[in-house]
Amino acid sequence: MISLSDVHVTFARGTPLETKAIRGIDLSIPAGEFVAVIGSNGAGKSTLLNVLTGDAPLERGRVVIDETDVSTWPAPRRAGMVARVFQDPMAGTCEGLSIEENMALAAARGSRRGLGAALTHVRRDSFRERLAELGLGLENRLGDRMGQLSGGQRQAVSLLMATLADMRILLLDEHTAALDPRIAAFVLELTRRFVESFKLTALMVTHSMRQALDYGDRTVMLHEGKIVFDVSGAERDALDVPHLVELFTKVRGEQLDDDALLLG
Amino acid sequence: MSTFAFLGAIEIGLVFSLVALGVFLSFRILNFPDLTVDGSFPLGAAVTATLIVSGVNPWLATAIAMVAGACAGLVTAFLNVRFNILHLLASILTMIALYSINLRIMGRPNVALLQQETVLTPFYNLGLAQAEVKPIFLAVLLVIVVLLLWRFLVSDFGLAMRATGANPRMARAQGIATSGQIYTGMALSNALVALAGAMFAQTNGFADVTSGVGTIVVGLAAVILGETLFRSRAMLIILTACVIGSILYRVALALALNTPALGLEASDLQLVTAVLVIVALILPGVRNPLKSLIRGGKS
Repeated sequence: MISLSDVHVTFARGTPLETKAIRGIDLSIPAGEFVAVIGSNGAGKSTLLNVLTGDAPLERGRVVIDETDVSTWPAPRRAGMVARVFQDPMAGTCEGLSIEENMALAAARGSRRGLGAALTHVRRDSFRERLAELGLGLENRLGDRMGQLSGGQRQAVSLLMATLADMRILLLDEHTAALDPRIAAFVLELTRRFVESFKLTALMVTHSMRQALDYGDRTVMLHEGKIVFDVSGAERDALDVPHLVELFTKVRGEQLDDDALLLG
Repeated sequence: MSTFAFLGAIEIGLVFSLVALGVFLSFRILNFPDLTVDGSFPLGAAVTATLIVSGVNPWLATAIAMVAGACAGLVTAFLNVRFNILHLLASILTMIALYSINLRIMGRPNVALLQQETVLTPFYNLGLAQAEVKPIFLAVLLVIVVLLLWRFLVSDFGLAMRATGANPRMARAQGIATSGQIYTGMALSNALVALAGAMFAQTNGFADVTSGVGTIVVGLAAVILGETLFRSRAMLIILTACVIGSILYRVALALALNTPALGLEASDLQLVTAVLVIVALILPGVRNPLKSLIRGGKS
């Protein structure tokens, strides 16, 4: 169970550049739920993720993960609870390290890193097995540099890496936005598969209304740092992209700019 | 070149390969261009020489010198991590401060160690010439250091340090406290450089406050040379390359100095080193830790 209560985040407080990124968000995510978060640029989607990871300091409010108040915990301390896949395939992996080294880094997320060998036979075998699940032939390329993989391959490996250690919530930060549509679809399917088979609690930020309705159990719309729309169950199943666009337009009180959101 | 000059080149190359390993840790692993080494090398020499002269066991003196070097690295890391001072500037500040500190430690610009017992003394009585004992002793030391460093860098902890240098954002997302890694890496790097200073003092029989000038450039030259000769991703080979790079660099330098036609003198050493590093910077395709720093591109 993840719960945010009365969360406020302001950047550059007290300066002319002051930005109120989150203006009072209350959100509870029960264990096992897959939430899709949608909103235009500047709505606070990424900040919401950063609030959960501990990268954005709270001005006010509380973040509680499984009854532990983690509001003041810095990011590395929360890493055992929170796994993250970045939008930029370069950001979530070390391109200079090999695939197996990247996986070893991820497998130790949240646990103490000692002086034992990072790559043992046991670990290598399990990495090989897990990579085979992707069906990309990467199981034979354990020693290859991460930088040699394509963006889509790296993103698929990033997703896999996130599942190598325990977590309370998986955060997906527009993790398919930088990929071409075919690869994006593959990574999204993979996401669905992992969330289902590992019974993960997940929060996926997306720009695409289609994705926000097609993936997950619940759709949350952010606008100007607030939740303006939160739907799940049968009500959500009845929704289609045009409804969402209509809702969004109403919320904004203005005509929707074609470029603001990808409708597809 | 005489055998004596050749052995001398190997010896000094081995001493500076410790510097190369330290520079590799800061520049390559942590992506932290650290000039502290120009201060921590003479610091290691100063601490060792002063302690040995005042009757301390040479092994203990060497260990204390390494701790002193580690502290110097911690100061630089602290200035950078805690106060956000640019790494290069933070390290220059520590380096400058160390000049005064080294003078304070020794009480004078240099300390002679000629008749004193050093870590090498017990080995001088085994029937070999001193000029042979020194490189053999250093070679054994380097084998141990390289193996330990290798084990460290392929451990979970060492891998976390490599991630810290390569992609700090990803490292933090994986639960790695990056500042802790920078402190550890910088302490380790400068402890190695101080060990080099300690060995320099004991093999050459003196410590001098000016002996640190250009240490960083010599270390970099060795790292670059090693990386150019051995293009490998295996950590043990990369570390060995630093050592071999350092030795080859010194042997090449000794050859040049012993070739009368070139007209070079020992005092031209720093100029030659600088020119070599500049050439390495300009040459296309050479992986170079300074390139990203100076040219703004990715190395």
